[in-house]
Amino acid sequence: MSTIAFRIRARRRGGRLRPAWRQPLALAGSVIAVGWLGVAIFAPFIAPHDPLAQTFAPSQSPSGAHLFGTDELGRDVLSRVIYGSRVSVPVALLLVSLAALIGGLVGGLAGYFRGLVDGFSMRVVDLVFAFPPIILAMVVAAVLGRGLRNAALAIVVVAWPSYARVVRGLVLSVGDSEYVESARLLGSSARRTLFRDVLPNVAGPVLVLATLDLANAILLLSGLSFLGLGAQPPQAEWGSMVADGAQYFQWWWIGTFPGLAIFTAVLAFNFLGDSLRDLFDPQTSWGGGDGE
Amino acid sequence: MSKPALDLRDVEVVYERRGRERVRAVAGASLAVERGQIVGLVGESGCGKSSLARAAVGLVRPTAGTVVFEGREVTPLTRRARARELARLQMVFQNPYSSLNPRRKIGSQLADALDALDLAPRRGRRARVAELLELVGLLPSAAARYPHQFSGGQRQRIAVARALAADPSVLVLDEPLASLDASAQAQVANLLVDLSRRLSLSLLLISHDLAIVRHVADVVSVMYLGVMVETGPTQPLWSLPLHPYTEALIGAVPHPDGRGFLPEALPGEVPDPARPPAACRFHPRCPYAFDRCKQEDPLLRRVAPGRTAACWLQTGSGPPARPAEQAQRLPLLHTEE
Amino acid sequence: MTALLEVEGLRVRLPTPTGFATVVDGVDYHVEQAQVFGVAGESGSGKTMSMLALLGLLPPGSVVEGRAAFGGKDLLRLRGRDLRAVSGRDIGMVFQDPMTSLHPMLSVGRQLTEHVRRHLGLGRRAAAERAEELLAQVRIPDPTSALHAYPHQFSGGMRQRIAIAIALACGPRLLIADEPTTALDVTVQAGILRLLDGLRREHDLSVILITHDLAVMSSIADRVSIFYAGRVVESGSRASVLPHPRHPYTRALLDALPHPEAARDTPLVAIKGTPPSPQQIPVGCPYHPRCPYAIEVCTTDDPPLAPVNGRRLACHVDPFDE
Repeated sequence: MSTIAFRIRARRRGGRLRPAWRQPLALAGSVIAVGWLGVAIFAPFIAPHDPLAQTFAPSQSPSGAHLFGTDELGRDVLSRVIYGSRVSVPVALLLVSLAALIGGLVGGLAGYFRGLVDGFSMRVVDLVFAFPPIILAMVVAAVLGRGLRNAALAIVVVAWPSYARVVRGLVLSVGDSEYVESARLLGSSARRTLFRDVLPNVAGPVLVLATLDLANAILLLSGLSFLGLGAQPPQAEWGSMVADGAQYFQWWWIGTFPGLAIFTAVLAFNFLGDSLRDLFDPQTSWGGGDGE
Repeated sequence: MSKPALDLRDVEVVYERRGRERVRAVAGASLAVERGQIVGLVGESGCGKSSLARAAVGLVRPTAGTVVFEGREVTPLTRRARARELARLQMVFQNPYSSLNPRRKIGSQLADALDALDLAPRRGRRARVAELLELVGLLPSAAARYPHQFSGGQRQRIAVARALAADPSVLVLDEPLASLDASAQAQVANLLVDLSRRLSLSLLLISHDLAIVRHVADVVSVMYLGVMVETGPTQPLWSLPLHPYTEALIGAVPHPDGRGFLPEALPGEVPDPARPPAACRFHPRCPYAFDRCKQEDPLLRRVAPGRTAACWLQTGSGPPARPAEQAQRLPLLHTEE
Repeated sequence: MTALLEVEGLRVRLPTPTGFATVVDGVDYHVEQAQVFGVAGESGSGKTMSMLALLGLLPPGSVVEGRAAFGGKDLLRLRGRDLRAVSGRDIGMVFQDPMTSLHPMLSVGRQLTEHVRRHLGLGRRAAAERAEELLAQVRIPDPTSALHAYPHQFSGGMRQRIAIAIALACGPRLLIADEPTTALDVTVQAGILRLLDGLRREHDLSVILITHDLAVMSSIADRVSIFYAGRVVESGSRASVLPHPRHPYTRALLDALPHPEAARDTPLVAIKGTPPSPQQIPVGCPYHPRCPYAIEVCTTDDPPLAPVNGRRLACHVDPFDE
């Protein structure tokens, strides 16, 4: 006689643990992130109106003609939100790539040469880390002057140290690993092992960091624009649109929709980054193999 | 008489730690591995055997003493490629899960030596990799797979294959069997003995498992707290240990015969290597310790042909005898001095 | 005399991405008073899971079937506070790695007294006295100052002794030790085995010793049980099973070991193949693909664990019948 003593309460039904990429959050995140990318690319074809075109119907609440309504100058909010993605998403992508490149290089050199090079670069990293990111970005942007390009540069300055830290840590730990020691004993020079053994192990974590950083970049960019330091009017950018919306609170659609855009984009990239991290973690995704 | 393939003399390895004391992990140890011989180095945690192994291949610089491989001094690794003459001195590490790069295919990792040392033309590499895999009892198809697809025993065999790619004459193995289950241990142990005989490969096998070492090694060296305390051919050492620590180690090995004998325990603990006991390092735990042991450090000395021991009970006069017997003759020993 | 612990029909299924995996598939055994019961098997044989099931330590989503009678209760049907009362007080558990089983941030004394106060309701001073007593029992030198020390200040062997002290703090009748000496040096291991043996005699304690090391089992166990693929394939007294194994797997395990007293050139025989994962247990006898004695019926019928000459054996062939 076998009676089931109990079933320990599980998170998922049916005794199945879902693998990372099937988790609904990760899926939703990926879909939304790709969605925004698509919107950014196809903006001219999707947007119903010219984002800069002022009409004689200012501050209209959402309706059939203007799904997101119009702002105080009569511009279609939906089209502005769509075109706004063209600013936020690609610029964020670009500046994250730049930060990763610079940071990765600095971190890689620090981990490889150690000693003075390491000491010096890490003190610079510490210096940047000492400041709260948004404050530092503001200062740099202010010094460089207004405009989207300067705001982007400011964010690169703020973002690169994280990559330096991560890459340095990886280069150090992988460099000390037994498989690198083996390769060295077998005759590979340190440089050869750097490219063959170390870098492949660095790529994954950097990718994860970059994806999560995209979310931060979008947020920072919007933040700077909100403060007037980034995109300048009449450019359609989510942050400055939210700033506008804050002024004209009674016309809620002006600020809410761009705000939602920021929210969904940031969240999406966060979910994507999380699921990428799980994907790269050898413990979670791949099960034991068949071997021989 | 030919020179040993690998000769360590009075090697010292010191670790400095910021804000903490220096630790002499190895405090003057000597070891020789002859051609085609399997030498077992046994000792428990803190005895310095891993540090000695790393110094033997050049992963760490000895602070004193010499390491000579086939007549050539073993220079420690720098950022440059390792000296070609040292390529025939290779190492296999303990943990099969961390000694292979998880992100590279097996074939690629096995080919590292072939690339670095130019041991096979590009076209011949695949064939050579397949040969190496077969040498260790794996299928050539393993080359296209990743480490996580193999079991611990298989990974360890891959690690051996990788070392063999450099066509070594001496292979240093740091606890190669420790992370494996009984069946994989048997397989890898058999493989090592087989390779040694077939390829005239010398092995320096470091292990804390005496039973396996007894089975596999021709000669055993026993290490305690950074120094060698006894060496000798395996069978005579096992049946007639000369150093009290060797005796204790042998007595502590459990037997799977079902007779229910509890293994012997050794009182006390291994002291901190940074603060070893004065004179004989083993004296605080030694059941036979007497005055001289606390005053003078017994150096490793020849007690009988092929056998050395670092113990004041073994003075070399008369036939070799177990510590217990020697201790009984103690008053006599004193007068002889 | 009724057994201290009687396990019947224990079955454990764990949730995996591809559905349930049966890691323990119908296990029966019993442990008497003051007896050391050895459970041997390779990793993945289900030996640890079968013990975790008794203590309610399985991962969420697991399904457990069967019965485990202990002190008049069925352990598998206890929940929450009732389970904790038994598992904390009447059953102690010691794990393999003392580094991770002791709390690194709490002093040794605190870890001991906390346990004792919760389950026995002792006051602070009484608890401290008891803690010191326990440390002395496990032969920790200078128990008084040890109370104020932290785990990282002790060696591996000492930490394991402390873990044993904690497990014994409430005077349990059963101690489950999962690979307690695997991570330790051989002389330290000998010390722990002697300690367990001594404690068993002094306190009439029963011990379930889980290990893959048959030599360790041979030193201290009274009865042994060999696990394979989630079931018991052979069990009986240590003095009869180990010198004269009857199941091919037990025999193979022993042949793979270097016996310190056998001739040096006795070959070590590796068992071909690897243990099956829980999702891929062969039909029929789970060991048959690796068994040199397998016959036709082994590929179709799972042999039941049946009594044979004073021990229990799950084999159709029984090739070493003497």
